[in-house]
Parts: sequence; C-alpha cells; structure tokens
Amino acid sequence: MSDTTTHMGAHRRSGGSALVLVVFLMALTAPLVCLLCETHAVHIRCTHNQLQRTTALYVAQAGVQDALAMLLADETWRDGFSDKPFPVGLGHAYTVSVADGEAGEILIKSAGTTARGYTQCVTVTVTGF
Amino acid sequence: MTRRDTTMRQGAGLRAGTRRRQGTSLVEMLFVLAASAIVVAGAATQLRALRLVADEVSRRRGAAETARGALDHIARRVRSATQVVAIRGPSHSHDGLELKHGDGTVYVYLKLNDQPHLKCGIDEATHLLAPNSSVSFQGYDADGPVDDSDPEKIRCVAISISTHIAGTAEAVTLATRVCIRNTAPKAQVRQTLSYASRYTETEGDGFYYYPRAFGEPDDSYATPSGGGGGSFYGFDRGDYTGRICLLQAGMRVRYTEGEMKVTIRHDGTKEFERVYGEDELGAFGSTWGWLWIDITDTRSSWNEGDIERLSIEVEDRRNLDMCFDSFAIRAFFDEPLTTVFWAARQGSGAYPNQWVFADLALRAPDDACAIALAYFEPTQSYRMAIPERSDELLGVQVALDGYVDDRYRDDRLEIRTALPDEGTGAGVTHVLDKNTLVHFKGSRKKGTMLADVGGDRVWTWDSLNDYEIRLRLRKGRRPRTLMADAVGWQVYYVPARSISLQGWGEQ
Repeated sequence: MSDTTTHMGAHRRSGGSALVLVVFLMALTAPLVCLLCETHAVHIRCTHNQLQRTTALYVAQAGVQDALAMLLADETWRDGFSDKPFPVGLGHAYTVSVADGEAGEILIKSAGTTARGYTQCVTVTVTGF
Repeated sequence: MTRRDTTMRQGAGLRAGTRRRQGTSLVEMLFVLAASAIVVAGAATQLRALRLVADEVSRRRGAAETARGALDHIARRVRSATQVVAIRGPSHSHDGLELKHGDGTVYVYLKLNDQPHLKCGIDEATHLLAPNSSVSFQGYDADGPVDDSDPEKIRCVAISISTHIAGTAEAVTLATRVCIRNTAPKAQVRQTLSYASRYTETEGDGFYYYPRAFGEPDDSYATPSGGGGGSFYGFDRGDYTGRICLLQAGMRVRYTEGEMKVTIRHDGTKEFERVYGEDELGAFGSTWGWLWIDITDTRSSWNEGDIERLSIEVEDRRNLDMCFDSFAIRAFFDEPLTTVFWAARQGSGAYPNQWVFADLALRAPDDACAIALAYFEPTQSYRMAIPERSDELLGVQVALDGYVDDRYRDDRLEIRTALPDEGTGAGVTHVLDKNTLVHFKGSRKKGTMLADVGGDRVWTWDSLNDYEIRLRLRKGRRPRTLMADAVGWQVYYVPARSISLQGWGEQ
C-alpha cells in the first residue's frame, strides 16, 4: 500500500513537469521578446521625434528669415510674429520675437511648432542694421 | 491467471510506470509544443507588427534625409543669390527656380510633372538632386507673396520639398523660407567663419589638450609639446556658395616665446608654409589675439567646397611657448572694401627724417614729390591721422605712390613699421627689390608700390595712428633717387554696418 502511494505521488509530479517546462521556456523567452519589442518601440519613437524636431527646426528657421526680411525692409521693426502658419495648410507655425541687444545688436528668437506640438527654438544675433 | 502471471504483469506495469515517471509522455510533449507554439506565435506576431512599423519609420527617415539634403542645398544657393531669375508655382506644368549669383552663374532647380525626381544644375537642370520628390517655390517681398511673373521683386523664397516614402502613398514634407541676403544694403560683405573640429598629430607628441582648440574661442587652450606638432581641420563650408574673394586661415593665440612653423594644406597639398618668431608673434603677449594668414593667392581660385579640405598645421620649431584657443577659416564671398589713408605728418623719435622736401609726400598724390637720395639721405618716416572707426580691419599694406629715376638699376626700398620710440632696427623688414621697382622707372603716375605688412602684428585702427612707416632706400651699384608723391596705409575692411549673423543657437 505504501508502495502504491509512492508511485501515485511520483506520477502526479511527472504530470506537472510539462507545466514547469512551459513556464521555464516562457521565462526564458519573455525577457528577450520584451527587449526586442522595447528596442523596436524606442527606435520608432526616436525616429518619429527626430522627424518632428527637424520639421520644427526648419519652421523656426523660416521664422528667422521672415524676421530678417522685415528688418531689411524696416530696421525699426520689432513687432515679431505670433503663431504665423508656415507653410499654410500643414498646421505648423512659428512665433518670433525681436529685441535690441548690446552695441546695436538685434536678437531674433524664433520658436517653430509642428502640428503635433513639437517645438524647436532658434536664437540669432544680428548686427549691421 | 496464476500468481506468477499477475506478478509478471504487475512487474511490467511497474516498469512501464517507472519509465513514464522518468520522462514525458506524448501527450505532455504535445502540450508543451502547443503552449510553446502559442507563445512563439504571439511574440512573432507582435515582433512582425513592430518590424513593419520600424521599416516604415526607417523609410520615412530616409525620405526625410533626402528632403533635408535637398532643402539645405537650395537654401544655401538662395542665400548667396543676387537675384531670382525665374520662379514657377504649382499652377504651371513644372515647378522650378532659377537663381543668379554675383559671378553671373545661373543655378536651375526643376521638377517636371512627368518625372518623379527633382533636378538641378548650372544653366540647365541636368543632375539628380532628390529622387521621388516634388517641390514648390513661392516668392515674397516685404508686402507678401509676389506673382511668378515678377521674379525680380522677390526678396525671400519659401521652399517646400516632399519626398515620397517608398512603398506607400505618403510623403515627408519639409519647408522653410530663405532671404536673399545680397539684397541687403550695398556695403554688405558676405563672409563665413568656421572653426576646426578635428585633429591629427603630425610631429612628436603633438598637442597637449588638443580638443580645447576645437570650436569657437572660449579661452581654454591647447599647447604643442616640445618639438611636437599637429594638424587642425574639419572646417564647415558655411552658408554661402560661389567664388571666394578673400580667404584667411587664423588661430587665436597667446605667445610667450619661441618659433612655430605654420603649414596650410588643401587635400594634403601644401599651399602655404612660414616660420613665425618673436618679430611676428611678439605683439600677442599675454592677451588673446587672432593671427590671420591670407591664403587667397596660394591658388588660382577658391570656392566654398575648398573650405572643408583645408587644414592648419602648427609645429614647434624652437622652444615654442604658446597657447592655441581656436583655429578658423574665414572666407569672404564679396570683395572687402579698401581705402588708403595718406600720411598726415612726418614721423618722430628714433628714426631720422632725411628725405628732401619730405613734406611734399604728405596727403594724397598731387604730383609734388619728396626725394629720397640713395647715396646720401636715404631714410624717412611718416605717420597717419585716422579718425576713430568701428569697421573690422582685415588687412594692412604700406602704399607708396611714386617712381624711381629713369636710370635706376638696382636700389632696394626697405619698409618697416615701428613705434616712434623704437630703435632704427625695430620691426620686420619688407623689401621692394629691383624686380619690383623697375616697373616704376621713369616718370610720374607710375602707380602705387605696395608692401603687405598685415602679418607684422595685430593691427587695430588705433595702432595705424600709433605706428609710423619707415622707408629706407638702400643703394645699389649705381645709387639713384626715388620720388615719393604720397605715402600711407592701404587697408582692407568690412564695414561695421554690414549685416551678419553673429550667433546662431538651436534648442
């Protein structure tokens, strides 16, 4: 009787070995899969951010150039621009402030914002006006 | 069934049970495989989805890089242009832009509607600039958009480039706006200034702390090791394009003692080499100053692409104790302005004034000449009176308007610049020898003799008043006379009202 109990117990243990194996395999592969997913996700986010930042940078530069054009036409111009769309229809815009600096310098600060809310700033010091 | 049979079956069963306990059954194996397959399939699906997204993002990034490269290229050309010759908007059969530069070159950008690529070229769009891209241009003046039929009114150009993402119907669009800076006031001189960003050891232990000499001046410095030398390069071509009128290599330095050799190379080819010692570097002392070397004439022509190929090599030739803060290349795409300040008074102090009728060489040329006698009274000094100016001084030459006796043979004219209280031997000697003077033989209005003294020291407007020009006619085998109608400084400068972008920061 004692032998029979022992055999049944051993049988129950052998039946659970599959579950243990599955759990072991999952424990082995899950971190790898998670790591791969995370790597891909970070790569995607980085690329997306980079593209948005580049777009915002060019929009900000367009703001600087727009301000320069205004200054060349009228060197007393200090109005700046507020959320001026550029280019029209894509949802991007720039905000520019113009201020007098030291020794005749003019400071132009331009913030370009994309339709998705990414912002890049460009600060330029201009002399010669 | 006998007891023996029963025992045998039980024995067989027990053995079979023992085998199952020691391994896994087929059912268990199938269960494990099924569970693993589910896990792997789930992970693979997820990874595949991510991979597809990542691939698309990579293609999007590639398209963005293409658009960015093309946009930067066009923006640089627009900045350097003097005029928009033609511009075509989206309503036409093709999009294009034609820009005229100061040297007469016309750059063309064209995107035909029946072709997927943006092309560019000189006079004709022959080269591929951006594949699978479309472009649009819009001209502006101070009042707003300009009609395409009036390109000469355009002061700014808005550029939009869309590059299609491979395998999709989407496109990446980048847009910016660029002013034609040459429409600024007439006195504008377009220039770029770029700093070294790379270094290679060339002699001995090279430079100590060489990264400190990278980038803009910040008072942190590199120094050459004893007998060592290094090459600084990695200059950026900057905003402007076209022929360079004046090209300078420079270094911001402090000097204590010793000699250095400066070698400037273009793609490894030596273009300039000179040893600098106490005479040239003594003026720098313990305060930072820029030593600029004019390399314009070392080649027949320069353009913006050459800037990236230049290197400035410095070597300790003898006990050099010197600090190097920055290495730079400065390029002027317009001729700097030039003017001559004629002498206002004779020099004073240690150097003798001996020319006959020396006062006649004061002020602008007027055909009344001072006379230098090579065999009797050969020395004379002059000083200027220049009003205060804020223009940036680029170069200094000594100018002498006059001529030599028509029987001239081989006298030499020695030119020095020194402070009035310095001895007769002070300063660097510049010699106009017979090969130069022979062109001024004969009579009046022969032109202006020039000696470049820009490298003698760090010149400022004040120092042009402080220093005097010392002239000495060294006699040859048959000494003759020199007639000096006017003496002065010829200077090259950038007007202070020239519009320039002094700082550019991105956050």
